[in-house]
Amino acid sequence: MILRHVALRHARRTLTPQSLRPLKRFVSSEVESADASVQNSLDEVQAIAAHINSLTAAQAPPIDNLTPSPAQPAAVSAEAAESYLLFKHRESQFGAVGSVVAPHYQPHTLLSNPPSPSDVTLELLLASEAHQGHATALWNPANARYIHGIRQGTHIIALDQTAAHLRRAAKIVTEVARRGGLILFVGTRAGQDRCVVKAAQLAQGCHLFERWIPGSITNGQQILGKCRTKVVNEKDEEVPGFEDQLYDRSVLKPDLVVCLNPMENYVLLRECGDHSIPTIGVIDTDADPTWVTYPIPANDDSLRCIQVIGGVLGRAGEQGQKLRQQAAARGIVTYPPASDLKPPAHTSSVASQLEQTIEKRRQEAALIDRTMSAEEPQEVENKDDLEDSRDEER
Amino acid sequence: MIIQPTLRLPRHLFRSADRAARCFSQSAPARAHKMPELNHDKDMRRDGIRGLYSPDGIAIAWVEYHGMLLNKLNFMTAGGEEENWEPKKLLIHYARDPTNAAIFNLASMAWNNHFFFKGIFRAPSPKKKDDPPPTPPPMPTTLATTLASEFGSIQTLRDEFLATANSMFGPGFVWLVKTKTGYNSSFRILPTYMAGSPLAGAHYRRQPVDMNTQNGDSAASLGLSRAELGKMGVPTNSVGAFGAQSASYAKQPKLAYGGVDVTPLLCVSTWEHSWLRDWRVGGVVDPNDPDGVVGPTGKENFLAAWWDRIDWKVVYDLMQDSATSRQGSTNNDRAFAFNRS
Repeated sequence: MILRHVALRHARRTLTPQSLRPLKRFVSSEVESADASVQNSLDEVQAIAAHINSLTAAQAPPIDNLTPSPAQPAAVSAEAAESYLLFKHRESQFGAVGSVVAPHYQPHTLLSNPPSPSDVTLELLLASEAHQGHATALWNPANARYIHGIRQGTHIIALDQTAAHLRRAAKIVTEVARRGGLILFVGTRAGQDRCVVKAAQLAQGCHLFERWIPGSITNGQQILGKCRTKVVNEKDEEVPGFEDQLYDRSVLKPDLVVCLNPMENYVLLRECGDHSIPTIGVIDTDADPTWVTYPIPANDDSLRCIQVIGGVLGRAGEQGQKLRQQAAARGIVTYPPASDLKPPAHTSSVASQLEQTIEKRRQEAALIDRTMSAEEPQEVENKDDLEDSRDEER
Repeated sequence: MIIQPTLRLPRHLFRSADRAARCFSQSAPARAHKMPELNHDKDMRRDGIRGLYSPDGIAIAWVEYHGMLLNKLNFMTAGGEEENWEPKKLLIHYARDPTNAAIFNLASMAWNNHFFFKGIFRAPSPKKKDDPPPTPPPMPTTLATTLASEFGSIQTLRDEFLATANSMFGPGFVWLVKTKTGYNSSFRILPTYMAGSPLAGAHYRRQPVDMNTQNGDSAASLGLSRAELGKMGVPTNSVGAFGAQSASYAKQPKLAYGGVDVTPLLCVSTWEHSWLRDWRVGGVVDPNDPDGVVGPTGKENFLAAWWDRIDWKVVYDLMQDSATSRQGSTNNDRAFAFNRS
């Protein structure tokens, strides 16, 4: 089960609880220098282990009665941290002996350490096979402006167009994230799930790698109505006391949708268009560029190309989130707060608020029960009538 | 009768896709393995190592020989899956594979040779020719006391080490290794012959014969059946394995029979190309000596000179892990298992 924190700002719902913020030192794929790992003393090892354990201890409670609470991960011992540092030290001392291996393509790095918008070069796109289009007979003439030429009966996408459109899309993702927008990353083809999840993690948005349920936006109240929403402040901390107002509030919609296979997601893109939600999509030579707001002409059949594009947009979202959080730390809120949310009446007495809410629910339930029981035939009253009628029949 | 091994054909000739990929670069194909950079590399190539190597000796033992190893390694692995594997991974992968003995030898030799040169002290050449040559700093006291307590004295260690190296008749390497961490730590002197490796993952190759001159049939005559040769690799028998832990255990790299988890700290190369150019053969008899005692050989002189030029800081850094330095540390097996794969 993938857990992610999504905050309510002006019009969004939380779908899952907060995940552990992993200690960047251990999950970053940047290699530490040999000196850095050698100089780590035991005190630092203890500090690292203590920090991990503190993160582990501060686990968010389950959001409602239905969601099972996640299993508590085992506390990281000092010995495990020590063992890891020792492994890293050995790797630097014995792994790189014999020759210097030239930098080469390692597929897992596209997921563990995706490229950022500043890393986008024509060489990278070419190596990722982003230029490979479909057979010329299958093209959509609306894509003529993105095509460089023809080779061996297939169209070749102009990579300068790809790079320019990708950089534009990255800027859009960054700015939406900076302004507190909710970004949905969609990739429903086989093998795109890891890329989509990673991008959503970086941008602190949502992901979708299974089939889009039609109506999730147009009929959102029905499909997503059971999802819990919460109100957060500019520092992403939950603010209690809004449960009453949230109960009547409509479901969230994404503020930006990034679709890595638009050809299979027409319904999603149509719903976004109907609700004025901007979309970014990877447009191949046979795809319709009018389906999305911001097309990225590239090869959607190459998983490597999709991972590069997904990674770049995820990193762009990460940058936007960082800018937003930096502004929040300075006291600047980069988005207009929700205008239809009133501050709770007694913020200090949360318990009384909760009691009021519970009492309200109990009254509603009692009303429902009374209504249902009124519909049943009342045997005490009708019995005499029945007997009278039977007597009459006789 | 010497059974010639089948000619090792480069893999890229069978891959037309690789040739198509190369049409972008008409110049020499990109090399996966490049020469490693030693500290003060330029000074070493220009002036040699004073007291041990002349510039021509460095050219033979390091520049040309190591370059040849990497050239052949690039040639043999180009276009294949293991094109970008580092030498350590290659040598452990092919340690049990007699049909790929050539790649094992090249990768293991590259690993050993680089390790040998890393352990030699280098310093920038003195600016004036008359200045004395830089001498290596003395052994760190922690290391000195540890080794002295293990071997009795540093002099004993030296005698033992050099005697082992001198008594090796053919080419090989002699290693100072550490076998266990914690208070019960043990240092050992370990000789390996030809291109044998001290790494635990390669211990299937005790190297009783030179597998470079064997093929499947001749290896079978040594006692290994064809079926056994064909099955060489990580044991796949999972009879009796069940439970949650057995799956993860099956994936762990196994230790070879008779293998020992060691951490190599120091080595010397007794291959003749390492010392013959500068130290020659020696072993002459003084005509005035009535007993006809044979003088020291060039190899003996080389080894004695090498001992004085060891960079003990490198040895200390290799030994000085945060776990190994602590008394009673239990991070022994998992830490050493790094050299199994």
